[in-house]
Amino acid sequence: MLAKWFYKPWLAWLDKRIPPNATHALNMRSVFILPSRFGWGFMVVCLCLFLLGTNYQNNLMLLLSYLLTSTMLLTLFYSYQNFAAIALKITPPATVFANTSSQLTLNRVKHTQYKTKPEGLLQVQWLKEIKNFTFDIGNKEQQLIIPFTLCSRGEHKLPRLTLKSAYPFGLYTCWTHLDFDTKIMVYPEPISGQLSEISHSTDENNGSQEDTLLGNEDFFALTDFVEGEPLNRVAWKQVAKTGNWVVKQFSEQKKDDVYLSLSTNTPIEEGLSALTQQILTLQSQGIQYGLKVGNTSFTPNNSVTHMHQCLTALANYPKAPGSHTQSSAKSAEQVSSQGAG
Amino acid sequence: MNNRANMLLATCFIVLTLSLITPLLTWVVLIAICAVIMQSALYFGWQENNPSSRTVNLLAVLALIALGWFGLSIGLLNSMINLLVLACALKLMLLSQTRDFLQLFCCCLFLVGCGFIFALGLEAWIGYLAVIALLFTALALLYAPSLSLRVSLRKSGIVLLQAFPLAALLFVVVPQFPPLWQMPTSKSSETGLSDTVTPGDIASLAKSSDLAFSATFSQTPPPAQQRYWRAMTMENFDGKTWSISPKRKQAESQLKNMGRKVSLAYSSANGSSDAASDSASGGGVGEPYQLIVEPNNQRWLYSLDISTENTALDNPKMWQQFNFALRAERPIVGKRAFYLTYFPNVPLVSELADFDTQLNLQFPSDSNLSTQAWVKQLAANTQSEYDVANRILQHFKTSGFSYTLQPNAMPNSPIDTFMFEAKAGFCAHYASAMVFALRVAGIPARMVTGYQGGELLSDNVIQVRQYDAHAWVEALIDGVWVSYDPTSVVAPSRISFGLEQALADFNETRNEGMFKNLNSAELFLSIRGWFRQIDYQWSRLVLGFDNQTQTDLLKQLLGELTSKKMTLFLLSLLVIVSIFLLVLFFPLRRKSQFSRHQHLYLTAVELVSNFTKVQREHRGSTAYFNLVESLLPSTAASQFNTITQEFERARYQPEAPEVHEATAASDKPANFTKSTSKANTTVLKQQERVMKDALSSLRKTLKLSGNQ
Repeated sequence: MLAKWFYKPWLAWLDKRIPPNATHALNMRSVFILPSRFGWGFMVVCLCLFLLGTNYQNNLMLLLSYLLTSTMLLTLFYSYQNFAAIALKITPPATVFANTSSQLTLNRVKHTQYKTKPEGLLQVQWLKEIKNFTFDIGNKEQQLIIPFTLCSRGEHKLPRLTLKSAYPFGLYTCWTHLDFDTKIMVYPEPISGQLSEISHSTDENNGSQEDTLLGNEDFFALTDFVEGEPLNRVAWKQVAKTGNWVVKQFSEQKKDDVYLSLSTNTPIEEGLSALTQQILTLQSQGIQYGLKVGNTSFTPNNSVTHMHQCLTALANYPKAPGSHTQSSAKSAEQVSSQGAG
Repeated sequence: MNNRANMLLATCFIVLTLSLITPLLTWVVLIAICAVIMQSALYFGWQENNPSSRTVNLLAVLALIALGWFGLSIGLLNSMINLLVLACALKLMLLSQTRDFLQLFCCCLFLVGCGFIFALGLEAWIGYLAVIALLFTALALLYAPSLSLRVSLRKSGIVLLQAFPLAALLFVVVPQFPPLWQMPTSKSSETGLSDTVTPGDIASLAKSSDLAFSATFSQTPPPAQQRYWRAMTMENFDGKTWSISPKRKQAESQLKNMGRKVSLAYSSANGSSDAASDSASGGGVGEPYQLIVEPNNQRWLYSLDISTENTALDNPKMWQQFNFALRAERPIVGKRAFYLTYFPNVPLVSELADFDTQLNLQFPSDSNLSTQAWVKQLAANTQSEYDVANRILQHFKTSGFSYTLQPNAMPNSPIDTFMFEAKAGFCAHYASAMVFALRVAGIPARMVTGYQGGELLSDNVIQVRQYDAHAWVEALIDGVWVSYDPTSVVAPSRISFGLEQALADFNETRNEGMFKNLNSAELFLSIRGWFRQIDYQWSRLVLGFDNQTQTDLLKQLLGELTSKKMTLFLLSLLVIVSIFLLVLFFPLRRKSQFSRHQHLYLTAVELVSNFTKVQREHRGSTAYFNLVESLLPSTAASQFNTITQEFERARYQPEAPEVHEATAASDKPANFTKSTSKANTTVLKQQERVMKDALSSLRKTLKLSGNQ
């Protein structure tokens, strides 16, 4: 209860102290450091050795206890120095579907202030989550890949990521909560379902002009590659031979443009999920499709940008009045992590 | 789990166990070895899994029962150490989580601490320090599995090396407290003199060349003939064995409880006339000296006859017995310094004359009958007690007695056998025979044991080793204890030149076997002397460092100690240490000359890339200039060219002149000779100015062309 009370002010304080940014180079302001549990235990050991040395009037034991105490002190600086040398840049994933595991990539970049290479195990976890992912940043690997799952569609701000390290001796825990200032559009979860209405608009004008619509049944010709065209149509053999990017074109029985729209007699979320699934299927098949939901509509196309536009429209579709309050309250914290890093 | 870290920890553990082998029970060591073998099996992949926790728990229960059984006989401290090793071994078998690892790590630190109870030498310290470095290396490997062993060893070594000056500082500054409570001491490891003497005992000591104590004098130490170090008086005789009289013990403890003290002031004042007649130097002024006693788990101290506690200095608790021997309040378990004052030529006036007389006349009348008869005959026509004593000494001198460390066994009537058959023995035999003879003659006498002589380590330091153990005689004549040393009559060189010389006179050596001749080799002697010197300094500076030395040191540094001065001193130390740490860890605050150039160049690149919309990305500076040259207005291009060139020069020039002089310095700018670095700085400053100017004009140019 008390924790809940302080959570919001704490987040606000964090926002002020470690402002959101796509790139974070750790520094004095963003790093927190305290003795770990082992660190406290170590101090108790030092104290016990001191008492033992005093009682046995044994200067070597005293010296040992002082040596360990000094090591503890120096390790404070070494821990900080190592942790503060971390600098990360976010690469958000291109497509994220609700309830589906996605990956966030953090690239390690060069720290402007520290030349030392950070070492040791780094634990990464989402704020307020238990599950953590461990990376050995001493490795050559420059990327930290963090799986996550968002539960509801719509635009989400990624919560803060907690980074923790105990290097070199585990005596201190260095940690930080980083906000990478990233908004992620979560598309509805693709679930194949009943699409009650697929409207085939028969646009006569268009149809007469072009007799052959591009399909994928029979090979027809090679044309130059235009950005946005599906990659599965690229004639890779030709590319390898000549270096020119060409696209295979197939002739197909002339088909009407597909217009997708939300069915009226299924629950909104289910309908959106079905639409998403259908868009993905059509996209992969290379069939042109359009979309009409609510007030927005998109003319049929088969480019990747078009797909994203359509899916964004679905993601932003107003939520059902009943579920609205519930999902919006959750939305910020509804990141749950699955799978292992 | 991280196998490398586990293996390293297991290695440290087995090294610690083997270093503690003396107090450990054999089966505990075996279990420890088993645990390490199991861990190695996991490491080398001979085995996949740890033993089940049920097996280990069963083993733990059995081991605890066994330890409870043996614990009674080996004493509390040893059982504790055994328990710790046992717990570590069992934990090592089950090592699977980070938590287990950390617990084991802490236990190993404790084991190192325990190691210092038994080994105090410099070599032990260095060895244990190496183990600690390995322990931290294991810890570093746990938290950074990809680190190579060499790198993590270097890193933890550096941390420990840096921690060392801090630790030394703490050692000097943190007050040395007296023991807070009594700790269990090791039962089995009492060393040194025994509290009983059956002639034959001291010979075994003579084989040991272990150090007993070192004494440091402020002036020249007394000559060898005067160096009698008193430890105990043996007043009880059963016909074979001399021992400390239980009545003496009782009386001493009663007197101590009553708070009575030996009044040497009284004795020195009273006996001043006698003392003056003996020698020119009076007994009034004492000579202070410091005694560093090797740990022996006993309470007796060794003092030059006769010494008292130097009350001016801060001593561990001790008191003087009425037989003039000094006792420490607690057993000596670590090397401690005791501060004493030596009063030569002070007569030992008995303060308990009746008690002493009564105690020191008893002898079993049915033993050593021939000696009794001989003494009665000897004492018959003497005038004084001195006469009796001198005649006995004369007898030893003239009747063909010899000095040997290998006397024949004398199981029955040892004194008779010695006096009339063997006529060969060492100090205990002579002292024993003489005390017995004196007692038979009706003169109260006792045997004093301790050490005699000692080697000069340097001009004012004497080191006394176990083979310097000695026994001599004290007779109570007219209320004053008079010392006699029958050994000195038989083997004068034993007293003046030490045991080795005495044995050489009688064609014997102390050492047997293959190293017999080693002792005389010149090189060996000098190396040994060198090691002894190191060991003495280690004992004096580190092991013997106590409250007194601490106060002296601080006084030397600061003059008279006042609380204000101390506060200032501590605060300034704090500041110095913080500055040291800041310099060590935050050197990057100061921007180097080069980074300023870089900053200027990067600003220029930002301007250019904003203007041309061509990002530099990973291109080199010249490559980027070539790329954007055509896109820039010609003036801007030339300005950017200047900046690029100056930047390149600043970047690569500093190393150019160095190549001719010292190639080694090229990768370490800090190694530049002063003159070159100064010249470089001026060049760099010039370049910086040029770059700044070019940058401001570039900014203007681009702004103008941007507006158009």
